[in-house]
Amino acid sequence: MLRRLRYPSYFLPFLFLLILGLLPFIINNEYILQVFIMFLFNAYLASGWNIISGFAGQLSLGHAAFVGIGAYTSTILFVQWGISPWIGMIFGGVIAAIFGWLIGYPVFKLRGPYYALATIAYGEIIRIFIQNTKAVGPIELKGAEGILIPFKGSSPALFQFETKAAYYYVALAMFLLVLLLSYKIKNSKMGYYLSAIGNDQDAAESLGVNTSKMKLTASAISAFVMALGGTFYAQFLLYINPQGVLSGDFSTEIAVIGIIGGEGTVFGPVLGSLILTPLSELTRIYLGGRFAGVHLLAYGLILMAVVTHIPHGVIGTFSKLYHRILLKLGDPVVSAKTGAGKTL
Amino acid sequence: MIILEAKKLTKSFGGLMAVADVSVTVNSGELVGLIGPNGAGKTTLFNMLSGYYKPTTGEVYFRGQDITKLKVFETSDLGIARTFQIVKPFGKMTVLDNVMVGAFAKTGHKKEARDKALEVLDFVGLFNAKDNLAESMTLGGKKRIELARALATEPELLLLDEVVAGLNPSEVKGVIEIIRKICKDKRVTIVMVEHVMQAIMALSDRIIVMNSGRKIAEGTPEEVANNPEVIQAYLGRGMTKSARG
Repeated sequence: MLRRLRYPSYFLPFLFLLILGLLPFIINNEYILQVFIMFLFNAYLASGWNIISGFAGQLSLGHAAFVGIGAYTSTILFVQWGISPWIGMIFGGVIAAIFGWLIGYPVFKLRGPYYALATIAYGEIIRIFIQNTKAVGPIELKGAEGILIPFKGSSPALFQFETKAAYYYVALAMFLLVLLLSYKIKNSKMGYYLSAIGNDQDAAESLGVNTSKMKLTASAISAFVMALGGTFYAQFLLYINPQGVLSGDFSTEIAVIGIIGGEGTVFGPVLGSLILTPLSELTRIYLGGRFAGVHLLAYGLILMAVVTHIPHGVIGTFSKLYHRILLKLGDPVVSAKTGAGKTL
Repeated sequence: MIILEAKKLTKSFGGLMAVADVSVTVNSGELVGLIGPNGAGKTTLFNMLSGYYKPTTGEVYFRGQDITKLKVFETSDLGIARTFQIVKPFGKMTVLDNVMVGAFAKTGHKKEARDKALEVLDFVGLFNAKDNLAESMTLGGKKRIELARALATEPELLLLDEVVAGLNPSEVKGVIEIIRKICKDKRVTIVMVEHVMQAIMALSDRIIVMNSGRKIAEGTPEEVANNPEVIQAYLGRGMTKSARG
């Protein structure tokens, strides 16, 4: 392994990882570190979305629902019953997965745009429900006002940290885990089956693929990942409300990051986030106050440009570029199998 | 030994009786051709045999097991594979990945699936195209992908829906050779719907002829070719006499 690090195709990713790992020591500016946390977080969410919408080609525009379920579950457990968000996180994940499975039953009977429309519908139903519900039995949802999470100082066991750097490392760990999960799925029987479903369901069935079961499983895994992200979001901001964590805008942002990066690929969502997170932060700073919603306009324009000019996302272009750099650096591994480029 | 048996299959769409009371028996190792003029009900019958349509009445048995109500992927698990008349390649996947999806029917390991897929690609003559995107292939290539994908599931029964239709003469020859090898060398039972007579006459052990939703004749290629009812169905009433004479 160590000897292989001489090769660019090994040391470049290693270098990238090293930089990510040391970033909080390099950057002293809290705000810039926050942008990096958002980059990791958005890449994480888009990767989770990618499992059902990219790999299996079922475009979801309601994934904020699962983020919201995760955020609300761990927050309510923490605020009302004092259960650590680390544990609440798992609860939220499981509830979201069950929800993803159940909602999939009726929704996956729909194909193409009808499926996407249905996902918007259930996303909105959950948002409107929570926005207008103060409490369900002993569970206090607090409606539109949202829930404030009390800050208990530096207490890692309660998912609360005093420095941004600590949150950064949590986000980095989640980011790396979801990439590993994506990679494992993509290169397994399940990944091939999901990809087949995304291309042609009838043909997939004829080859023995249980398409409904596959889609339900992918949907449950995807929902689980989203919900864990929701807990992170809640603990990072210490405040959740339906207009934020459950909004249709949020669902759209997640999907757009995935689409622009390159859906169905492991690293597409990472690239999407790398491009869109800084953009969204900049538009928020310069246009946010007076021109609320303009950042969505910018998103829309970029999305149009990408869909018309590079329909498979920026990953294809990036892949070629990366390949060329490796060749320039004289990588023996890549030169040996030129042409048979690895799919990222 | 009987591998596939369809008993009194009927399918009506609204008021239209597409297939009426058709029974079919296929023996293990046989290559059965299914022909008939346009609108004869071939594809409807074919879709019932492969589980895509549920018959209005009647049953289908595979190795003695009633498969009438099974889902398509369940019939695939039992050992039935099919190709589509209008090809359905996984366009955004490579040729190799297309075939690997089929190969995963018998294994959970990527490497085994890959080896199996490469072997099948070699068999159908697509080995050199393995890294191309399926959507970039010619129609002939796509038809071969369909064959390879189905074969990779290691079926006992292969249902081919107009697999040479739309190909040029040299491509037709190539595919005929592959089908012959699948049946004779790999010992896979085949039922094929086909319009291209060259293919059906060259390959079939037995031919079933349909017209207006009914089975009108059954027999060896020679028997069928000389059957007056068949000639009438294809050429019309006035031609019967001259064709026989």
